[in-house]
Amino acid sequence: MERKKPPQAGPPEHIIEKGEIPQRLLPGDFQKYLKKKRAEALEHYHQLDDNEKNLEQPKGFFTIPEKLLGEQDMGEMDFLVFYFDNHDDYALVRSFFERASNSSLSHPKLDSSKLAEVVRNAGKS
Amino acid sequence: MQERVDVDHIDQLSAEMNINYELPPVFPQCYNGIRFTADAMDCAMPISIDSHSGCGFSCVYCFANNLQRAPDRNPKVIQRAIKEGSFYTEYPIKKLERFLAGDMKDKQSQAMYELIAGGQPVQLGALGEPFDSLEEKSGWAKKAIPLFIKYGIPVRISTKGGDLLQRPEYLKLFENSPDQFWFSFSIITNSDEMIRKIDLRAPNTTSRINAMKALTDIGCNASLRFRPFIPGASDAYEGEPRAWAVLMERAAEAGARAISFEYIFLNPNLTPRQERMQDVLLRAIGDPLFAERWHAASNGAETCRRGSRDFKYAQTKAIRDLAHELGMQFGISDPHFKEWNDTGCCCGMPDSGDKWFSNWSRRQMTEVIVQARKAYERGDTRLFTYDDWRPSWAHQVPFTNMVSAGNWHNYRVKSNVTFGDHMRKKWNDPRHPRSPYVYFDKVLVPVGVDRNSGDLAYRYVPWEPNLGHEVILGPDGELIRTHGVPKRPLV
Repeated sequence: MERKKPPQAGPPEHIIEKGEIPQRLLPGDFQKYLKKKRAEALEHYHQLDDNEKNLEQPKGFFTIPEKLLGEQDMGEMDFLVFYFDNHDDYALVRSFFERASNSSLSHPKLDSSKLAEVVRNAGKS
Repeated sequence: MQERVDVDHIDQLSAEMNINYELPPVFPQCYNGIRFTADAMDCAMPISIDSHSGCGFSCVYCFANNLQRAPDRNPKVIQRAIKEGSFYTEYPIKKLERFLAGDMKDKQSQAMYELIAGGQPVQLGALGEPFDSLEEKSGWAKKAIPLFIKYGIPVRISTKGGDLLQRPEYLKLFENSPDQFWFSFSIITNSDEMIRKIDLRAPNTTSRINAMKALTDIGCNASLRFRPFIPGASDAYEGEPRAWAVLMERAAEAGARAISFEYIFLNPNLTPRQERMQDVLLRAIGDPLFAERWHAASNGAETCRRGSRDFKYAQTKAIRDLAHELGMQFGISDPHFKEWNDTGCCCGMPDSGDKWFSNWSRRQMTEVIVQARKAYERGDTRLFTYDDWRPSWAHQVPFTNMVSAGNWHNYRVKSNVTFGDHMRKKWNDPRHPRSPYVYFDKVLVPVGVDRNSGDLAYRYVPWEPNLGHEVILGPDGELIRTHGVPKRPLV
């Protein structure tokens, strides 16, 4: 199953442009950066916006909509929980995932013995 | 003496937790002392700095005991103490200088630089005291203050450290640029005797007022941080029925240009250690049933139990009026009556005319509620959505950098959520304790969904005394306020 790419938490590129703050600062560089950014920062942080509203106001008593138009994809990731009857399988899987490894494996069904099998095979290759 | 007994009592609590609070010869240099405050949703100065991982003053109401920094709430604190050989650790000065010099590349620092570029003041002493016994031992502030001056960063210092701050070697630190520092002196009562029973190891009221005078004499800014306001200690006590007013007058005389006010809040989920600390507080104010009655008067939907607007109204109004009479700016961090702030900064800073302290961030909910009130008073109905105050920095910082997610599952699940996403979610859930509707006690009211942004739109509805404050909309969408059912009175 293809996983939807979650939104990244890092600074948007339009805010911190690549290379704008030099990797190695020389004395005075940061002060120059602050001076350059000052007008932009003051404009953003020194006032509230008054964006145009297009209000959808329900008739009668106000109830909170079940689904808001602006409901966000919070990028929350699913996770699977496996329960092991066989302690050796558990120890094997745990030892596999505890290792620093980039080869993360997943299986769509919650099948612990299958997971152990996948790990066992991964270990062989 | 009672206060000695209480100090011993607190020491006993520490001993029961096997914590060695003795100060080491040198503090381990592993504390990350800079962060965005988790209160940033309604705070005008979201960048906060602490010198040490703990505090030497043992104030029994301290809100840091509700957070993950408290050893009885977070086993990691104990583990770290065992590993480092000291309960207290220190924020390395070298790291502070690297931050101030703009040399940090992590997401959090980059977001902070955006604020600093706009002249944003930073907080020093957010969760702990910068001028306590730990400072006396290490001299951290003696190295840090010249750095703030060197890099031109305005600093708001929240302190009770009257004893250290009166010493010439400390006063000298600020002489080169005194107006770059704003001392917010936290004082909860006018009585030296009473304050010793509550702020167990901190300097007394007179010492703090004297330090305030000494600092304003050399040109520093100062304000009275009258919070938490505790009935029985802050308002009046035997022999002084107007104790609150006397304290404010003393502060004004010592040069305070503003007041920041907030009633106490109580946590309904105390640890056993906190319960015993609360007992010390109740004994000091002489009212063993205060906590029970306070919880009964509070809105059960609140995480922090704040009593009621009805109970607080007369006292809050009197403090606001006296502040204006004394020529002080009125700031109120209590969500009840937060709309009464003179500006959108509840520390009491002005919104213009100050070289260092007018550039606080407007992108937070205190500014929203103040602007909403001002618009209402002009006869306008101004609607607010999240986009109107969306702070850019918050959408660059991961949620788990700022707030404890509880367990590793939540850390993983929320690894792509920013603090901005978190605030927007609260804005759109009026049932949540930190939504504007519950948090400000029904003064910002959701009136519909804005089709442009997709978020809830709120409007201001003024609060008036003696009304059970229920806000409903009429059949044609107009706002109707009913008397509703009066809340249980506090007394």
